[in-house]
Amino acid sequence: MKISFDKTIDTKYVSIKKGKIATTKKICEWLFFDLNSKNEVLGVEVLGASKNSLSLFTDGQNLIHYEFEISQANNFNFFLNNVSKFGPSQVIDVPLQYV
Amino acid sequence: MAAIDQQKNNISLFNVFDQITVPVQVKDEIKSSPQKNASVRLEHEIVLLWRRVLPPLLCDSEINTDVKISVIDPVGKVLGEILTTLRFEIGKRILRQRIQNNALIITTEGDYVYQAEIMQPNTKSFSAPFRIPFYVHFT
Repeated sequence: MKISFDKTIDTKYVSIKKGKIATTKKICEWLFFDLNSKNEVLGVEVLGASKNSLSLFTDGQNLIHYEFEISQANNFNFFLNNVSKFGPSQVIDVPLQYV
Repeated sequence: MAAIDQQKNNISLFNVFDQITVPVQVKDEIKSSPQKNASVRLEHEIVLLWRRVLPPLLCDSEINTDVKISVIDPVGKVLGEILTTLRFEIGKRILRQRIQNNALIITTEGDYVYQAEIMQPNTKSFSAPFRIPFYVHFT
C-alpha cells in the first residue's frame, strides 16, 4: 500500500495495486473506491482525511476488508472482495487516561 | 489475547505465543492453492502501545497519522497489510491499539513477522519499523 496525502484539500489516496481505473464507486460522502474492469480495488480516496478514520486490510495484493464508523455510511458491507474464509479482522483503539 | 479492566483501565495479556504448530496436511493445501498459501484459523490479537515522545507541554496538539502493519513470511513476502489511523487526542500521551485477527496466512515453515510502521506527522513515508516475530512449525 502506498499513501499520498494532500494537506491543502485534506485528502488521502491509498494505492492498493497497479492497473487501469475503469470506474469509481462512491461508498459514502467521503470514501471512494477506484476499480478496474474486474471490480478489484486499485485505490481508495478519503476526503476529509484528518477527521475520517478508515482501516484497510489486504492479503498482500487485494483489498479484502475495510472498516470505519458505521454511522457514517448506509452501506457498510457494500464491497467485500476475496474475504478470508474465516471472516474479516477488527481494529479497536483504546486510549489510556492521561498520565 | 487481551482483556481490558474498564474500571482500572489496565490491560492483561494472556496466551501470548511466539510459536505456532500447524498440521502437516496444511503443506498439501499450500502446494495445491494457486497463491501457494493456506489460511489457518487462529484467533489472536496484536497489541500495540504508542507513546508520545515529546512531553505535552511541547507537543499538545492532536496527532492524526497512519499505521501500517504487515505480515511477512520467512522469504520476505508480504502476506497481508493493515492500514489504520492513529489518533492522539489533545492531552493524551499513551495509546493502546488492539487488532483482532481470526486467521493466519501461511506459506512455509519458518520465522514470520508482524511489522508495524508509523507515518511520522508531516512526512510522506512510513518509518520506525518494529517487528514482532513468531515461528510457524509443521508437525
